[in-house]
Amino acid sequence: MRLAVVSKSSEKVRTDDTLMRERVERVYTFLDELIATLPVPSSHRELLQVHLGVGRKRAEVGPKASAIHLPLLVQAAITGDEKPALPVAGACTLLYLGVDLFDSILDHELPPLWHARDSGEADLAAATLFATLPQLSIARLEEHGTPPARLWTLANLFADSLLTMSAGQHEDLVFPNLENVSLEDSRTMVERKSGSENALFAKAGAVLATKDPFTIETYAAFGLCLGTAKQLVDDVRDIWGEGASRDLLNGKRTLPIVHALSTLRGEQRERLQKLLAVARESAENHDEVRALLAAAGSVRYTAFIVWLYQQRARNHLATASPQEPAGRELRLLLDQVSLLPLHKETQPSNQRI
Amino acid sequence: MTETPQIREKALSALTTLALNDEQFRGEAIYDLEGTLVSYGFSLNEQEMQLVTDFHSRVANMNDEDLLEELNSLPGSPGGPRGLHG
Repeated sequence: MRLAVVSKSSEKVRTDDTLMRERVERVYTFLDELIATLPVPSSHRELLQVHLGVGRKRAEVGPKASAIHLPLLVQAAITGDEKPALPVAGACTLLYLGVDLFDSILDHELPPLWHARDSGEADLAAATLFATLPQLSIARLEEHGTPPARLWTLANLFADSLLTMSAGQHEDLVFPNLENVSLEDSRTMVERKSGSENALFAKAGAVLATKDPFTIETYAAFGLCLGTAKQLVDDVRDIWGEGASRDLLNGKRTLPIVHALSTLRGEQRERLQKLLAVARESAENHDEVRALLAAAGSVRYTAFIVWLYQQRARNHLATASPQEPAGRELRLLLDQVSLLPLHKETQPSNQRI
Repeated sequence: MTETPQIREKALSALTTLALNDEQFRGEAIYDLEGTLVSYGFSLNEQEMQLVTDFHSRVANMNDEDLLEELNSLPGSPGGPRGLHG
């Protein structure tokens, strides 16, 4: 019986993975075609393709990008068919890739595919990817009869979201230079920077699918909570992942770090402050920083905040009453955002083989 | 399909605000979440409290090192292979 349960889980896991990979392939094929038809020199089209190549490579390892799946799944959750949202998923992916490239530039960590290029080319590609190409992708909806008013709504949505994300990114940049960053400051920054990005992905799918403002805003709220939770998980992953912590090297004030600074007292706090300054120069002291954060209980605290956002996302999704099977896939995306060990019975079956 | 139990959004929103802004709540909640919720005037129903208890039971006996060690064994988790960002 136990083996049969494992087998059925395996099949479901493989099917979900296959669905995701097929979706990723459809979106990147769409984007390849979009870029191929741009009325610019081929050298410029090649430049724009570089970071698409980065995204594609990453998707081979983990095909769970929200930019691809959220707009398609939300469309399907409302109408039963995800296909009309392909240009929206394309637009979301272009914005995501542009912002991702920009982030890499700011963190001085360009992926290998960019190493043969001038840094100015990376700047240019990032700006074009997130500021220009999403509109051209959305414009493809006109071919399928989407009314101009809805196209304008989508274009405005992308602009508003990018503005909010920009404000969050700005806070992320200046926090290392501030004396006191509160937990609330840190949370607000994450919601602006990352939560609003996922809110856009979900909301864009909903705007295409329905005129009902309640449904649209419910999916937006779902996206916001999902995106915030994911970023917090990524922030823990960055500090405790393999190798040096990029956030420690860049002096970032992510939630686990702000929590430790808010919790530790006396010598421990002073030691952490000194180490955070030194950690920007080299990874030599990163282990001691990690130890102090652990002493403050920062992982458990962040796990609690992630859990709260995960529960809120669950609420919003339930309120939206998504059609199946899209609802199941959305719940699956959400279930995987956690800092808690999975219950043994819900671990992916390949973990038990 | 069986409905998944949920905690009301108002309660979750209030809990998030407290966890971020109230030092005393933070200090107490991580060790005794259920008791802290009661002392702060939260009135959760049975299903909601079950969710809270479930969360707390998964972390109560673990310190940060234990939690990270458990998570390190899972792909995409801290210490595991880094998956797709976003």
